[in-house]
Amino acid sequence: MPSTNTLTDEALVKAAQKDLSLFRVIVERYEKKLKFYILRISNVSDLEAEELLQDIFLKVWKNLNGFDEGLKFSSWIYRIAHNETISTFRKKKSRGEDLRTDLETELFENLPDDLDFTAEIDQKIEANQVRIILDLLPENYREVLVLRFIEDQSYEEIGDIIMKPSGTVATLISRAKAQFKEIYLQQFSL
Amino acid sequence: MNPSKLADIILKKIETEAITPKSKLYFYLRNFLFWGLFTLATLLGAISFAVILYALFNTDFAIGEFVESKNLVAHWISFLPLLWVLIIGLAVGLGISGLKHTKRGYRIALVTLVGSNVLGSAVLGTGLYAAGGAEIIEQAIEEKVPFYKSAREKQLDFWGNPRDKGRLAGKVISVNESNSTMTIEGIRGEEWTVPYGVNYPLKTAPAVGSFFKAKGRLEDGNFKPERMRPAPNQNKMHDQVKNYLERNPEFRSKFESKLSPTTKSALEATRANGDRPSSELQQKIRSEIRANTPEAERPARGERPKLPADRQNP
Repeated sequence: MPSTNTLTDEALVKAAQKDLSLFRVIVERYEKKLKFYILRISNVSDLEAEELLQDIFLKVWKNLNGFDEGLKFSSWIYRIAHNETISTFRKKKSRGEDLRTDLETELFENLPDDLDFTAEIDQKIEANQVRIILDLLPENYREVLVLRFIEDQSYEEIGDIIMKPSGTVATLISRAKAQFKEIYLQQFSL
Repeated sequence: MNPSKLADIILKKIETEAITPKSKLYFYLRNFLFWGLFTLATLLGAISFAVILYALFNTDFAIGEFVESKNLVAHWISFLPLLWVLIIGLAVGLGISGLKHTKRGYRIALVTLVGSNVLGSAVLGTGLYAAGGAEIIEQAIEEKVPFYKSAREKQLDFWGNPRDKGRLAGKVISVNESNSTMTIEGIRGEEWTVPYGVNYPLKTAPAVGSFFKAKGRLEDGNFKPERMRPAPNQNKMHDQVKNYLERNPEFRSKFESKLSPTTKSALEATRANGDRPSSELQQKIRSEIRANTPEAERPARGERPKLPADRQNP
């Protein structure tokens, strides 16, 4: 039997359906990625993100037989994480809490470059400004920007995660970029 | 928390709470149900489309000269099969929802989803209409659903009450040139004596078998037309309404109870052969019904038997 490290995600899923211990490998592979993703798209605290992760992996386990082999496993597991996070995030938002920890300043600082925005305004945008703008964006715009420019997912993968056609994803990204610039100009431009 | 610690917690929880993955059958059935919902919605859409076509092709919208102009739009709207338009809208919505929830349904753009659903319903519905299914469906529903008003019933309401509404549509079954009158068989099968000539809208004798529509009033049991025009497309509706009335079990049993056993068996033999009764047989039927109807129930001069009381307009 090959080492579990060399197995693809999809092969691991098949194996984990018969052997629970192999589910551990899936958890270990995605724990960090999903935690960062949760924190990037929501305002939950570090501790809450970990609690959320437990729920996400339990949901993955329960629905393991429903994994569509026509999809990339990463898209499928991100979809579950996305749905769980959004649902929790909405509850948090309604309580007006923001318990987020600082993370990956560099990734946020790079976002304006990825949006071809820095050259346009000839000015550096701080990571905390990027985060404020992302918070001000509607939820659907924020999540596609994070998935595309921070998680580096393709349009098709984003479509599989948020369950929308690729064309709609392209439109959402384009509108999100436009609104990102608009908010920056309103809030921070002197 | 390090990665192995989270994995430990999750695996322990799965083991202690004996959490098992949902079966493959569950996901298979779920997907199947959504495809089933889409299929059912498309079929419902097809039925609605077929009935809408049927209603549109069997409704006379050229009624401008027979109603007050302010009522024209209201009449047109009342002729439209609005219930089926609503059902087709619901069916398209259900179909989209079903398809969107199938395994990869979310990948299909909304325009394609709506388009495929509407197109599927339109193609199947046109086929159903062409095969005569729409008429059967309308008939079945109007018999089972008390408040349902079919296209036929609407036409019956509009054209089938010359006494109350002053509108007559029907076929010329005889012409009497000596007194310049014709006999028109109305949509309900009753006969009306209608004058023609210089003082009336129709100046010359019409051909027997031709169809007319008229607006007018009753005078001495005769229908005096004020407006009248040929209605060559009326024959289809005329036959359909007549067939419907004859098929209606209550109407049939009431009218057949007045026939002699010989006439009844001759009528049944004709129907069994798929033929229409000959003119001699029709004449015999009329005279037997008239003879066996008590004076009080007998229709006014020139009329033939009516529908059962509950199917007549007040």
